[in-house]
Amino acid sequence: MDSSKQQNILVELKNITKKFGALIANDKVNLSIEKGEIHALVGENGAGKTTLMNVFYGLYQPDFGKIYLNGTEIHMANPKTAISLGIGMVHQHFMLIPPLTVAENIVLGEEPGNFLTYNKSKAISEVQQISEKHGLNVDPAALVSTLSVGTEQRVEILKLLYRRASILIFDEPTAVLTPQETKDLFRIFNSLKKEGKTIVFISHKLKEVMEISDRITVMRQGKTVGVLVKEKTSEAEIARLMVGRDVLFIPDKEVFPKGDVVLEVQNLQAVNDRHLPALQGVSFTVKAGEILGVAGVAGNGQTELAEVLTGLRSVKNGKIFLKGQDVTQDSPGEKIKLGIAHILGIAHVPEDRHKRGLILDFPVAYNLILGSQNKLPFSKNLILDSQAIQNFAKEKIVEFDIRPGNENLPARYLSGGNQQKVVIAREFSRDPSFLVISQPTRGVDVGGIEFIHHQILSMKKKGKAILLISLELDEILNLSDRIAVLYNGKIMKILERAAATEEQLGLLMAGISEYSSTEKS
Amino acid sequence: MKKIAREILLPISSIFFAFLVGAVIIKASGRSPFLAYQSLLMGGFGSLGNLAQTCLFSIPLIFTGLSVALAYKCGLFNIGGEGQFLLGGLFSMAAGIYIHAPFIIHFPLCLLCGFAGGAVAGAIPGWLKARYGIHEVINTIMLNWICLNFVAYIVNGPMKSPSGLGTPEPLKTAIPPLIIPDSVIPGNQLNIGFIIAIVFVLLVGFYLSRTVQGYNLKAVGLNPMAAEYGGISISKNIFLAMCLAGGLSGLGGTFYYLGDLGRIPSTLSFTGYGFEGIAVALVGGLNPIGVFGASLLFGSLESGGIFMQLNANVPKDLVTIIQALVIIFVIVPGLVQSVFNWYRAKKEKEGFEYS
Repeated sequence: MDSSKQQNILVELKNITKKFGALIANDKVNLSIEKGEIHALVGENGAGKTTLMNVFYGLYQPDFGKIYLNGTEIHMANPKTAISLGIGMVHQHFMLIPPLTVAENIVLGEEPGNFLTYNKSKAISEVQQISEKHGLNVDPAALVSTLSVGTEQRVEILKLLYRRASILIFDEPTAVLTPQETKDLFRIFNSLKKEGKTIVFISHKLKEVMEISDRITVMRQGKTVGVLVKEKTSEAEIARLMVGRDVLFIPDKEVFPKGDVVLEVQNLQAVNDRHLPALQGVSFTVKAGEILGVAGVAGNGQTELAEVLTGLRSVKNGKIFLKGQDVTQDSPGEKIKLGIAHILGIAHVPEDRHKRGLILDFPVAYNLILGSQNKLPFSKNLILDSQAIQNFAKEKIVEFDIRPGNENLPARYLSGGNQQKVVIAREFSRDPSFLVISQPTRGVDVGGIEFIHHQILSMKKKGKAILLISLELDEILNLSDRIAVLYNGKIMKILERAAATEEQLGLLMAGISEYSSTEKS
Repeated sequence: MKKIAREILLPISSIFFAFLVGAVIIKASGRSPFLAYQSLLMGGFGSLGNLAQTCLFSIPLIFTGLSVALAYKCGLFNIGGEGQFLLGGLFSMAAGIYIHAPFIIHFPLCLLCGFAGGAVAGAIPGWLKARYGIHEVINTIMLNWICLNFVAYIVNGPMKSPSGLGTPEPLKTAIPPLIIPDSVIPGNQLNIGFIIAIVFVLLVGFYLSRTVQGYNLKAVGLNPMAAEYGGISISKNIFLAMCLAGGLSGLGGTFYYLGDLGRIPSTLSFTGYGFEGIAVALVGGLNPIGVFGASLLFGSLESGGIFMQLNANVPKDLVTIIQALVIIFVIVPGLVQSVFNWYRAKKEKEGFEYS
């Protein structure tokens, strides 16, 4: 190894091993980061990326292994140590206080001023200065509660810069951004890089990794499986390393004759959990054998739309027709009829499998009958039929390739992808006429995504009407026949897939509709 | 199989550690731990008579333990055992005194009333939780005092017996009969409540593991949002679970007052069975069979404690200390488990470094 390169290495993690019970999250992982580079850490969910960064940031103590900074070994006792060494981390979930201003959030804990007083104008001017220097374009006096997600992220970045961080770690920073916001973020990455900052970028979106990073470390099942230089690699190679085999990227798309309208929604309105309007007049139809994709940035009414359609949230206004029959649940104040989705033959893959989709401490077999537990063959006269439940589970485990194939194992011990397969297996087995599928591949590994996409397309082939709600634009583009863009509780526009471009969708997702006015509709 | 072994091993070793620490305390007080434990064991299981006494003491504990365990499966912490116990006792006592019927009708009717009384005391916090989301811990604790004072008022007022010792004695047809005749084991008081308690252990076990209702109840306890998604009503199940839990505690009170005491005394206080039910449920791993085992253990400590005091001159309070130690070792998250883990980790670490 030549010495000049040796000198350039800023951070070195050696043989990091971290176990959680029987699970080895990191197995002798090595990572070296050069000064001033943008280093991508990629891998499937559960590959150990976040664990590794949490070890580096002092949130976890490794069981074995050493951390070197500028060649000297350091003991990362807690995040405080990390911060004092100039390491900063932007988490997936932002750590901001909404009622405070940007400047207040940033200086929190290190307020300018003396013991008793807080120098507000100094805080604002200091933050303004840093913001301008790095081209972050944030108003220090604005309240955080009024900011968009992209801006909130920039506040997080400012927070790190204010604390003089020189190594910035980003955990899946683009998951919550529109394509335009992602571009902005990458512009900021490049400007930070020019300032001499070092960036570690955790992601599983290969396109972005290829766009922004200098070097790429690939992890699989808790191990480092490759370190690549951007110029000398390709998306396909990274994917192969991540999954351990070749991956088919785009599922075969066939065009089918569409059938009758299965679901019709007219001027749908609903409120969110805080009783604020979440859906403000949504109308669309879904035909048999069609996938209508709903694109949008998180928090624009997707959750409420799925819940209203499946009877988990009451309708404030508007109508829902299933095969021509009015199935609107609009009794305000009254308890809505639970399980209506299951009675009507609507399948629902909920956006958050841990929150709604699974009872983690129930065995897989019990999870596979949730919603049908009171029906034949799973129960007779209110007594459960264990044999029928077990047989059904064994059948579905084979059909949907759920691993490990133990129907008595609590769902908690399955990987994210396999948990999702349990939900999909259950919902797709109801023989529904209409499916609401939310975020089907969130936190699912690449192999699992491929499998789930094929399952969704096979439901379409069977002539089911499908509403696919996803934050992953690629997923929407790959699977949908038509695409509706949801913004602020309204549908901005419904586009034919063939006519939709990523650029146009991105603008619509940001609530900008002038693009659509320039083309004939 | 391995899982079952582990589930049994943990409480057994916790009990062992509790007795170990208890031995240190006895030794420190200048007495012999061996003699103390020997007499404790003798008192609990040494003779048929003592065994019958142990079983008798365990009856109310089995019911209150099942009560806590069942509520817990629905995600509810039932601290209201005391109040439910008292109200169940009152209802069954009233039925036992004022209703005239042959045993075959009268006795089951008393049980039904006892269950209903407890269920009423459980239903109130259940309804408040289901309808308004008010936390059941607060409500059940407060309701305990309401029940205590209500029952005390009835016992010293409308239902007061001329003798002034509390309520009158129930009619013969309302008293739970002895399992073993007095002629076989002289002086034994073990009544049919023990057999009914075993039946309820099996019933609750069946209900929780084999019925649709049990599935729904556990689903609500483990993940209410997912239960709702599966068409299961959260509020209905919370209400139902509290009613059933209350009813079980009420049955405990029924056997205690109709059987053991034969009246509700005028100087009324909490019996402690409701609270001990929490301990029993936790030591029993919140499953019905475990509750049964833990109840027998606590029952034997109760009956053996008296014996120990007489024979080894160790105050009966030590039994309370041992009970407390058992609870601490079982429920302080993995105090014993951590010993196991530490040992295993140490072995693994050694293995890792040498490899």
